[in-house]
Amino acid sequence: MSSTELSEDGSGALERALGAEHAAVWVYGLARAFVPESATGSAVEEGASSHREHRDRARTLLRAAGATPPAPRAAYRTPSPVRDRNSAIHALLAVERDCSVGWVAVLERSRSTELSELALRGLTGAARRATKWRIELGERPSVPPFPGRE
Amino acid sequence: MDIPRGPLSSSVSLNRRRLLGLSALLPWAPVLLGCSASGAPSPDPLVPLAANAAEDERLARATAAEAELSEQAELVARVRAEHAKALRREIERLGGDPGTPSTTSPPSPGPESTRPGRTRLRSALREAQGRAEETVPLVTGHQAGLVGSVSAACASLLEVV
Repeated sequence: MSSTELSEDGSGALERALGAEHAAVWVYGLARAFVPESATGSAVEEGASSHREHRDRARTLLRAAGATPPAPRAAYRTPSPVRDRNSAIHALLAVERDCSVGWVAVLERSRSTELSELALRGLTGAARRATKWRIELGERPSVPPFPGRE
Repeated sequence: MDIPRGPLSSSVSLNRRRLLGLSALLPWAPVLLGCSASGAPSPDPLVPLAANAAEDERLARATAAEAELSEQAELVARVRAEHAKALRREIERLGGDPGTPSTTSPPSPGPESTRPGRTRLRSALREAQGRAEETVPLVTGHQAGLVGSVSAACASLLEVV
């Protein structure tokens, strides 16, 4: 991908999506301590690994475009304090929603197929996991009609 | 693109085969068919997606009659109805003709009707996700976000059904 393929607009959106992915990696790390080994636990592992992958790909694209990828913060504030399994899953749902919003914004501003493909993968993964977490929490409806545009 | 009226099921499945064949050759090909040289977005790539969403809504409503699937099928129907509405609105905004929403019962049951409701719904959702995904590279801006979100919603519905 050449530097001309990332517009200023697209670059800003990708930086924000990367910020959401950084937060997701951090929150998934935190949640791991509260969600024991189980089917849910393996969904946490799978989510953590997807977010690391999307974070890395976003960083690579920004660097290739000559931009400096934003660094992760030392810690992130969750919507409510994470103290148990339930609050951990609430925090996971919140980061998936943030990532969905971030990737839709990238999709709207992308001018390259490589970036659009990453944005769609990021959005789809985040939306699917958000649905899993809504089901775990008993939230209805478990699927919003327009993930990332709620 | 003009959606043929009449026997909806056969014409739509023909279009699907054509679309799927094309996309197999050109995955994520950088052809911005949705944009004219002037950059004005075309509504055409959205038209088959709107028809597909309406078709899924009808299928899901019919499936909701099966007791053990009713909650999931109703969710599919609601979400796909929202997709059809938003896509038609966008097609109209871009000056296209979204076609007349059909109010008839689901496409005439072919061999598919013997399959269990869950299998039929899952296969429709997988196809809907794929068709929206293939449309993303054909559109830009607001339409790309809308179509991507539709694809992600169909993938999410597969977690439920």
